[in-house]
Amino acid sequence: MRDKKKAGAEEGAIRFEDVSVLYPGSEQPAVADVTLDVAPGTLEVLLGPSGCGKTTLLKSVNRLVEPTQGRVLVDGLDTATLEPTALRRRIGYVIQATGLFPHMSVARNIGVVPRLLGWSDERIAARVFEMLELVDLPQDYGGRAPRQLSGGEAQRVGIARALAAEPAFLLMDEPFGALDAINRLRLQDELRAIHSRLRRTILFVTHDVDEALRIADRIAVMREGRIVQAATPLELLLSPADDFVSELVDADDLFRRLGLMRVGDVVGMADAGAGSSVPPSGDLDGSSGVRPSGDSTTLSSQDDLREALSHLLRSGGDGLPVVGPEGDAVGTLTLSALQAAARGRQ
Amino acid sequence: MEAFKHSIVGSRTHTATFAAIFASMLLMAFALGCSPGQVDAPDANDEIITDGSQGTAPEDPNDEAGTGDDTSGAEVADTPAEGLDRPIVVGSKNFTEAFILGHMYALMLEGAGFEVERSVGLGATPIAHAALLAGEIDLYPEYTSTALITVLQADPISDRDAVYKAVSEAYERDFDLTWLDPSPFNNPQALATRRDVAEEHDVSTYTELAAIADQLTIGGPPEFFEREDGLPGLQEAYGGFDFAETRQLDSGLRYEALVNGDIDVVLAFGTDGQISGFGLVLLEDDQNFFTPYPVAPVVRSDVLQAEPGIATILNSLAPRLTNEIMQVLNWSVDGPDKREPEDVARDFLIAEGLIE
Amino acid sequence: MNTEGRWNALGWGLANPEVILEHTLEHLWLTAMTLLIAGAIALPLGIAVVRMRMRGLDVLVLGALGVVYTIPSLAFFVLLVPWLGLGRDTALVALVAYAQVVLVRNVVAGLRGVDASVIEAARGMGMSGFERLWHVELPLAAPVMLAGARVATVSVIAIGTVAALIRAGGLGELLFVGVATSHRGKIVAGAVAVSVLALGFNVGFRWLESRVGEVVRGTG
Repeated sequence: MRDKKKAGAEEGAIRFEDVSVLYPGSEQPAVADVTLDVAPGTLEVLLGPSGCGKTTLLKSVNRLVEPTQGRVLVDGLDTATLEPTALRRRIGYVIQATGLFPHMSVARNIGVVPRLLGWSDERIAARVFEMLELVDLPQDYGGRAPRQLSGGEAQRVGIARALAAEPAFLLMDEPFGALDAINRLRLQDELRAIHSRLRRTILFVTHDVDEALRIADRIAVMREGRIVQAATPLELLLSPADDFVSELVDADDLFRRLGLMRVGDVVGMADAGAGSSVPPSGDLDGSSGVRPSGDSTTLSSQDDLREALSHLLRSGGDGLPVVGPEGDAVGTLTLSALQAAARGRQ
Repeated sequence: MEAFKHSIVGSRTHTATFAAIFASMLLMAFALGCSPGQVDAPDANDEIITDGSQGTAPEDPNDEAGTGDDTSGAEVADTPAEGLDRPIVVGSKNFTEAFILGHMYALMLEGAGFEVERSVGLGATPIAHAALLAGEIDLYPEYTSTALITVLQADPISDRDAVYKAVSEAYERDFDLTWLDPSPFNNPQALATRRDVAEEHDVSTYTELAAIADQLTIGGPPEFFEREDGLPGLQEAYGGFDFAETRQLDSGLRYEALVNGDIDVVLAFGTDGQISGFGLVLLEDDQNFFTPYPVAPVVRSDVLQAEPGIATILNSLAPRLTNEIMQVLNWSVDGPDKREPEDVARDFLIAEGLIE
Repeated sequence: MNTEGRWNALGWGLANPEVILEHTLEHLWLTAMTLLIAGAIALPLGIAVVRMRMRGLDVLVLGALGVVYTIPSLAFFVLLVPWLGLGRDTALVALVAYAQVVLVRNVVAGLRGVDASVIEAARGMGMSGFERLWHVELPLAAPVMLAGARVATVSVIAIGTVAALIRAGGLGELLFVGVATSHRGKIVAGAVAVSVLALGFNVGFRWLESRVGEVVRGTG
């Protein structure tokens, strides 16, 4: 899969080498022989039922938990050799309960780690401004107390606080678990957006499969302290390692699979044989190029297959033309190609 | 690794702990350092008591060298004071008679040219005794039977000479403390009642009172209801004495409760001024149950060796302290006159020609 | 002296305000010193009890302090006088010891009451033990610790009266002399002064507690 040695040496990488954690007084290790590479800039989700050791594994990165065996490497350095507080200041940390300091304003909360690092007041103020913008909060929120925030707003501040000192890494422990469904989806999207912008290495713990599939670059499925499978979301769905993974991610749910694939992926393959690009058929509202929303006559290569299927069914035809990001015609998505993709026989 | 992390956290905690303990020590040092002048100074209690009295030079604690005491010059000739290079500290417990006696001892010694420091108002017999043993005070008035029962934890003895002998021997042997001459007054515990109660029930003796006690309420200090030389002993000696109600009352409040009619019988001391002051009836202890309580100065033997004159001076006071006199003196403080104990003590000593 | 109203409860106090003031100042001094010293001991002790991961340490320390608290003051003095003599120092030692149990208990309760997620966040963000204590735990525990200081202060004011038994001064002088000599004026003056002190400190601390509470809860 991946060249472990190379990944471990890279900046921005997290590497678990044969990590076990045995809590005192407990028979069963919370984490058992975990080896995992998280490549720089990856949003890696640790997915599993509660008690599977995912949070423990997460906390071994910033040494809130010490491995009883093995090593954790951050930026290629063994964390055991690093001063815990210095290490933690380079790693953003977001938890479900937010852990905002109730006696400090939002701005002061965001500025905590920069202040610990001895930044100047001007630099901190500028950074707070930037962070509020990043998490889409009005600037006047800086003066508010955490108590005055809604759950979603509080977690935004939590993320802003974690990112304030420009850490290369972000650890997130079920950050959206306490939010209502709408806020959860919104924050998931924003996290994706932030991730694409900043390209931090993010380790994200959740037990919510939908959330994992929605946001992850890669997912490590854990069970009873071990990693059962580490793969991309699609790989998990298409070829689950065992029944546990299959059941956990509900791999047989074809809609779920389709939701993780993009038109561009399928059309590229399906059209390899066809060879010819199909000109756009009737353009109902007269526009060409980038497909306007609600238009069912052309597909974008960026659409996911679930969306594409919906358009295809509505169009009544066997296929729809696909346009690329620049509006150029890429090919045609056919029902049979969709079917093949959903079955995993590409 | 776990241990490593803990040690880091732990060492920080320890640093904080030690820093704070150090800070507290500094504070303590500051607190103690800024106060010694006041700690040993005659404080406000004395000042109430010495209100309107003579100059307070002899009480100046900073004047330890014994110089500048203008009263000592005249009389130092017949009372050699070179044996002790510091003031004599006179203590007392904290009730009216103790205050008066303490001031009497202090005034007598001052009159003889000694430099005296007063430490009157000690809260209890064990505190006075501990202070005496620790050298915090040099002498204080104590009752023979109190010493026997409270300090020596011995059983009560009804013969007053035997009590004195037992106590003075034990003190000399065990504590290196000397008992000077006892007063003739005997401050025994006694039961007193209002005249109307005595007439209504026609009681004048304990035997008569014991029989009708179940119709009456008695007030006394807490220990009276527990100690063998208190109510339990009375019940054993006389039979009866099953009071309808018992009230625990401090000495100063007991008489008020009696006069107000809240209680009918009170545990009194034979020299309490209230007995004559309120016209109360002292009932007769017809089986001689209560132990005798003459008072005498208890002095540290080393102080007495350094200043043998102390014994002569205080022994000259002892024979004058009779029951009748103490009742009158106590009443000047406790009664409506509300005089200060030191004034009462001084006026008495002047009237007796013991001081000028 | 005061010819009018010898049994008038207020008469003596009104005629001798300077005596009452002097004893009140002594009492204040005793109370303030006790709190300063007791606080300087209780704070690190309470922190140590919470931080040191020794099983049962809290039970041990609070138990021991609780036992100290139950020693009657008179007996405590009798124990201390042979070592420390009479006077304020001895009274201070006893009062500091009495104040410990309330103070330490509230320091421990205050620190333990800090939201676990807040502490986890503080650790995760790279605060050292001291930084966490200083920036997070102590401020958030402040209202509970202040409540402890309030209770301790009021009880020190009350227990402080017995300091008079070993000639440490204070309002106890008025009370005990008053009771011993049936001097109502002194009793009333002493009792009123003690009550005013206790009530005043109680009100003052409560105000402080609510102000600090508002800041800490972010509602101020």
